Amino acid sequence: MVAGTPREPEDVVRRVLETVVRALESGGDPFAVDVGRLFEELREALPGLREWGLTLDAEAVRRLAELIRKQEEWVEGRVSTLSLGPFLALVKLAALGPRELALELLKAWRPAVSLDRMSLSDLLKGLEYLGSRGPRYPLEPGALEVPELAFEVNVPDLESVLRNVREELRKALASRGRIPYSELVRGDALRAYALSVLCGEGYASLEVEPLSGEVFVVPPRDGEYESVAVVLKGAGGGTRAKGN
Amino acid sequence: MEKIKRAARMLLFRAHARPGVKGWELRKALGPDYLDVIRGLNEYLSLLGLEVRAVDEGGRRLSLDEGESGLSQAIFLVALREQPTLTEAKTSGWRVDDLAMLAASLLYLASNGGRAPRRLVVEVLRAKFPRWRVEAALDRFIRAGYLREEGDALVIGWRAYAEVDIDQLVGVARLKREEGEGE
Repeated sequence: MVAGTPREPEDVVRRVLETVVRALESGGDPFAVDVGRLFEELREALPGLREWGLTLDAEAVRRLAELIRKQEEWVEGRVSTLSLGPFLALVKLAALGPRELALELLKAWRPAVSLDRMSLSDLLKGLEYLGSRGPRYPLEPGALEVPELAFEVNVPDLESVLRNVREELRKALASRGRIPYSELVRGDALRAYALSVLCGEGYASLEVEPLSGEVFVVPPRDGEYESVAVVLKGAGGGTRAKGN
Repeated sequence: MEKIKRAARMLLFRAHARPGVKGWELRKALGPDYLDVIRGLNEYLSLLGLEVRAVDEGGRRLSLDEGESGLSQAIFLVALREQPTLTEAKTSGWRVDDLAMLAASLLYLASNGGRAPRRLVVEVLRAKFPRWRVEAALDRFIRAGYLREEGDALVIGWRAYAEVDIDQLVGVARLKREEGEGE
């Protein structure tokens, strides 16, 4: 920037030239210099220039043109990066599988670290929760009742039950693709155990409808395994099956 | 040293759902020289692969050199200096699918200038993940601050900006570096 009020027009031109040369040599943001204002100052100084001042003026104009070219290059570079970004993001999204996406995130991720601590409001929330659970979850430990095991496995031929359920499962998945869990298990704890084993062995997966909570048996899927707890209605107990 | 210990307790023990402590809170607890205390704490934390970073309300990183007045509303939090491994992420409760869904959400939002209708984000994620898991994961990301809901739209949340180098995730970080060197 040109500061102050120089006495001679040649001084104005010299200062403009110095400003432009500094901007070019610094290699910084070419827009840090107000090119329009510098041209305006040159225009105002021009009528008063002597012959040697005109040479200086020509040099200042040449350097300003050079600076404008730098500005163009800078804009082109920024535009290409800005337009490339969304494209690269979509390419990554389309091309990478879940594991690769997870690894890409990890490369760019510096997670915040914190340790949870119990606060008074957390304790009050806990008390409120326990209070809302009703008489099945009494606060006095002595009052806790341990229910009798509803599903005692005492079957002479467990293998045949497994075989039968596997065969039914195979046919049902082949013909229908997706069967309600309750339809396949029919409230029988042993069939539920058998289905749990078959899911664990990769014959089927479980799918939980998030809104209704209904559980379906579906063909085995890729992905990570997780446990799905299924309560058998009216039987007073539950079983645990593997799904993914 | 006592102040450094106190700063560590304040920053490491989370008192709210949202991690971090405001600059003015640190100033109140540690005194007007709290930035020097934070710099001192940073030296100890760097030995453990951690660092204190300051971010603004939107999650954009701020320099500790901005001075006390510029950082009074900043959020100070402790973060890893290096990327976590997949095993470490899983140990801290992240499933691979959840990490992938967060990556996919951020990539899609980044490709749309940081914002997109939620239904479109769900559609994109459903191409790779089961629907019930997608909805549940998005809700978790919103609760954690990685995404933010604005009406029917999802936008990149403050925590994603604070913890994730979006340019690096997208793949333009290197281009920008090269561009900077060329200037």
